[in-house]
Amino acid sequence: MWRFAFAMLLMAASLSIRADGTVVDKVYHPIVLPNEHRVEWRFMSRQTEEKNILAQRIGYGQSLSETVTVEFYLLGERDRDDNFGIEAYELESRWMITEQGRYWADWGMVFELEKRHGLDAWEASAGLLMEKEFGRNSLTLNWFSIYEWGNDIQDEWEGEFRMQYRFRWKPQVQPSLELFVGEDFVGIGPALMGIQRFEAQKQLKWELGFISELSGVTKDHTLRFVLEYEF
Amino acid sequence: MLINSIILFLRDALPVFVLASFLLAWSNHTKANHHWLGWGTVLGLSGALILTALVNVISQWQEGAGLELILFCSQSLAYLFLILIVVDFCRAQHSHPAFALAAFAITVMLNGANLLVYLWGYWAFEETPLALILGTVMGLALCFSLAVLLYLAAYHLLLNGARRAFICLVLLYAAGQLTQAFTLLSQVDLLPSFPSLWDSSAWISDESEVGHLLNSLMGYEEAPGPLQLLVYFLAVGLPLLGLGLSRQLKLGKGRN
Amino acid sequence: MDRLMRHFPAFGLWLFAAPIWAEVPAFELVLKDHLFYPAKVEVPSGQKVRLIIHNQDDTPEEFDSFDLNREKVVFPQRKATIYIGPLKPGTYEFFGEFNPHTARGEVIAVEVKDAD
Repeated sequence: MWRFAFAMLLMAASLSIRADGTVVDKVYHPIVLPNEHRVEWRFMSRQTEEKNILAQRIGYGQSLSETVTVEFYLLGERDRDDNFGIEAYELESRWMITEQGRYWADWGMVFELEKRHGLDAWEASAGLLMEKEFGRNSLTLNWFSIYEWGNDIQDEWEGEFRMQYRFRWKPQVQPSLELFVGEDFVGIGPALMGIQRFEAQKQLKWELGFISELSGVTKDHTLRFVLEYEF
Repeated sequence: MLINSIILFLRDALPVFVLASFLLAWSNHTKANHHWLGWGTVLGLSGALILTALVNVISQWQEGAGLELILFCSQSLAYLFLILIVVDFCRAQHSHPAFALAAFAITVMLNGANLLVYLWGYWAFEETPLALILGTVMGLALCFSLAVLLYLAAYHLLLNGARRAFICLVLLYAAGQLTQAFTLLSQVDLLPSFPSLWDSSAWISDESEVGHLLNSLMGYEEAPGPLQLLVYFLAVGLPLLGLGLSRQLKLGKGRN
Repeated sequence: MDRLMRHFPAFGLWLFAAPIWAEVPAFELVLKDHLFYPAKVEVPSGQKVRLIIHNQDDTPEEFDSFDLNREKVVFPQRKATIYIGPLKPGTYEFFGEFNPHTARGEVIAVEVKDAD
């Protein structure tokens, strides 16, 4: 197991060539529910020594089949003058490759296409998602490969790695630890996720995480919060 | 404001949550009741309220050293109670819940007072206390999340018979807290301070979150002075030595 | 002071400190609008010094320094004294824990030649 984890970390490190942006985001799970409709709100606040970034996104998604969903997001960011405006649009598709619990681990993929608002700057990414359960513990791993291009940015490849260890204590309270690796960034921190089921397929999911850059040389904290309503 | 509130929470409340996880693992393992948790919280919070209300006056005592003295005495008491728990646990497999209650209540009081000063101080002046409320709620949730994971780890240790490892964890935690109390005395010149022995900030900085976590768990300090180091090792070593000796005596008696 | 001290006989420890009490040089800091004035304090290295922090704001502030290993709450309109050192020559950061973005400063320990 440890050798496996180590190999994963090495792989993550070799992939870490992300040059800009914020690495901390959501850790994706390789699960798709059939007939799923959902609205999602993500909030991310990052505080470094020099700046304070606030980014939010809202999205609507629905499943196309039993194993594939698509989701559309609007991304907003607060700029230097404290104005909040639309920054980018994103199209995302998740694909559940294996049935949940059938194999040693559950696998999935996620594809994203993002365009910056008013700029010729594009970003396409593909992520491999894995989730392994050990009793009431879950380990979720995401490997992302990202390509950026356009006239307004430098064309480049980037890589990212995300990991979440979660203890499924109660549906509403699942404490976890999260790790994010990108270029010049290794962040780790406590997180909490939960789910409240209502009648039929209606459910509310939340995630809260507080990730700190590990080197600690300069201050770099990210608070992330996700609310998802599925129906 | 939001992130700052969360950071303050993680810093100040973490020792309470760490202790709660250890004590919960211990009390679940020994099938003791959980009254200490509830009562400890209630007593500790009441103590924190009283301390916060009086802190303005107390801090002026002894030429400004009053608060440090009180914090030092309380922390030493908490340390003693933790040692009593450990000793009892080693000798009789279970400890008196009153010790847990006392140790927990004191820890809640000391750390709670610090947070209350912040919350009270800023509640009135913040135009929108929303960030403060949200920060408090989120900070609580995150501390809770860490505590559950830590509890699992500690309980796992006990379940697998690694009692010694568990006892060492508790001792390291207790010694770390006690050492910090000694630093408070240097701050008001009741103890001499010496130049630090080394500086490991290049590896783990006190300022980093890992540094904070290690500090809460076992009193990690990037640049400790000789006095701190001495207190720390005595605080861990003496109880271990005592336990070892009493064990040998017992074994010796058994043989005769 | 002495009378109160007698109530804490266990802290015979303070005797250590008493003889040097009077000679410790003091450096004043003012906290106003969540800013420290002056933001840089030069102190002599190799000896113990006192920082006296005067909080002129209406909110409490916690003087916090990882470098100096000090932490102390300063109440509104009050003064607090913190003993630091002996320090090696160098820069030691401090900040107000409740307003870490604005309330920041440095203690700079410099070697004093011919101190006598």
